[in-house]
Amino acid sequence: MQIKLNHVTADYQLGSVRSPRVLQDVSLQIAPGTFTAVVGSTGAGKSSLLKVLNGLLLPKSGWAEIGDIKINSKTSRKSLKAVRKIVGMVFQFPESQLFAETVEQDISFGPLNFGASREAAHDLAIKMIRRVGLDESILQQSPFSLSGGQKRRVAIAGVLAQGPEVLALDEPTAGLDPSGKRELLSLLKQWNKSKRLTVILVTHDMETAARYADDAVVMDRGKVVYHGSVRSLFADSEKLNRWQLDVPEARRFQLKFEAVSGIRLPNVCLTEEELAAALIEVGRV
Amino acid sequence: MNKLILGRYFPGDSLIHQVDPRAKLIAGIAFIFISFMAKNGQGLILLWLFTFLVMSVTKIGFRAFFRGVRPLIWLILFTLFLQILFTAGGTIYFTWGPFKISEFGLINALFIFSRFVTIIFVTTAVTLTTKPMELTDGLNFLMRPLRFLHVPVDELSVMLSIALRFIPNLLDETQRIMDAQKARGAVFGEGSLFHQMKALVPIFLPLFSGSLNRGEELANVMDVRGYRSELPRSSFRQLNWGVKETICMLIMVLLIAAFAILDLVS
Repeated sequence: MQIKLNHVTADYQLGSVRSPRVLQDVSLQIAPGTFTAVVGSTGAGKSSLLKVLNGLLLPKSGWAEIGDIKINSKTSRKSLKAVRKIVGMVFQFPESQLFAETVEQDISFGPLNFGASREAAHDLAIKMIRRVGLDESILQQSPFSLSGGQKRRVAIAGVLAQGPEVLALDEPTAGLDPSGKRELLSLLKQWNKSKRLTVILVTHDMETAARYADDAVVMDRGKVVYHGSVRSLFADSEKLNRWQLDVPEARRFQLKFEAVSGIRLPNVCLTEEELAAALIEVGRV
Repeated sequence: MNKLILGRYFPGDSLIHQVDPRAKLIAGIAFIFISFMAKNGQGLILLWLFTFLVMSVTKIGFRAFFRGVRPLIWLILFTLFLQILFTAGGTIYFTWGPFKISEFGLINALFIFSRFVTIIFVTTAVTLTTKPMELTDGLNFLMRPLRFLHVPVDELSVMLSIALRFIPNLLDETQRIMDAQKARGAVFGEGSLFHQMKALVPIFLPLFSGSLNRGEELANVMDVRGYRSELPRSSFRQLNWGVKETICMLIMVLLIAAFAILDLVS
């Protein structure tokens, strides 16, 4: 599913406070099946970008195109619903959206809203709870009795059950322990590879972006300032500095190593594995 | 969500902003009684003049005040219609079965409308220019005499200030949960009344559970920081009664006198 944003400008209103131009003239094209990390400092408009993709925030000018559905300031509720079926959205701390008596009912909420039959929703719940790596027996429990990590997986299962072709996630690993974080991200990567699910991930964590994403979108004060491969982003330290982005640890080590030893490693290393391989290669010569 | 006027403070540095909350509260309550003293045309004009004076001194756009009226508009219209349709007396302009539109009915309606609206405008002026925390401090002070009746005044004001303090958080959270459920295909404000009410469950349950959790956390934090409800508390914000406050009270006294005179003259 092709995603396209064309000169999108958006305002954001919460209560009486209006933040003008959280997005300024954003043009972007995300190819189907890619894993894209959206990075940038706080208040750069990352979450707003996701909301536009989901039709929760309508462009003030310009338009977004999800597949062949166009979203602009006048889009009808009906086509917004169609967009929301295609673009699954996992908010920050998605466990706060759980409400039903049982996990199964909660997971079925999305599919039923989008017109699935009860049987289909039931089957989906079983399928999805397995897909997020939880046991089927959890389906009959109350979502409020689960642990934090389990709740989050249930919430994500609920979004996946809608059958989205694009999954947009806002800081999905915030507050998870390291192993929970790793598992969740590997699951995402796996769905991205095997199910051709387009993943758009907002994150503060450059390690996550470096390790899991193919492409990166850098946002700065409401504008998209970079869209390209993760590797070439992290190759350019000067730009990273300008956008106040961190450098992944492996890359930082590489830079330090190169500066001290004067030896250039053959490629830009984003993970420990790559770094180790590069060091061995250089050592052999 | 934007209609909620309580706890909505408009920052500013107008004269009214600077007045001690106790003076504003007393003046606001006094005005409610004063508005019932307006019994003739001159009184009505004075009532409106005073209201517009207060509104313009706050330097807040009139729109904010009209928004304060909006939630009550049906109540106001209902009372107006009752007055207009069922009051007899004076010249009768129109009769249809039990309904009649009469001179007295129209005049009564005008007075009631004026009272309603000016009271809302003036009390809105008080809440818009006073920080919620100041308001609770002021209330706490004014309710102190109730302590002798064993009313837990301090606890009540702590509860009130906590409630006011968390309104923005709740709004924020409601918005977030609504967005999350919308993203899952929920539709709000459509279909039959029953349907609409059912659609609210996925918002309110998470909101309740979140609030309970937050309440528990807050209670723990207060405990840890040594809050004891049975001990007397000092206040970080000092209330200050000065010249401005006395002048404010004098203005209200003058207003009462003016109405009394108007009443006597006519």
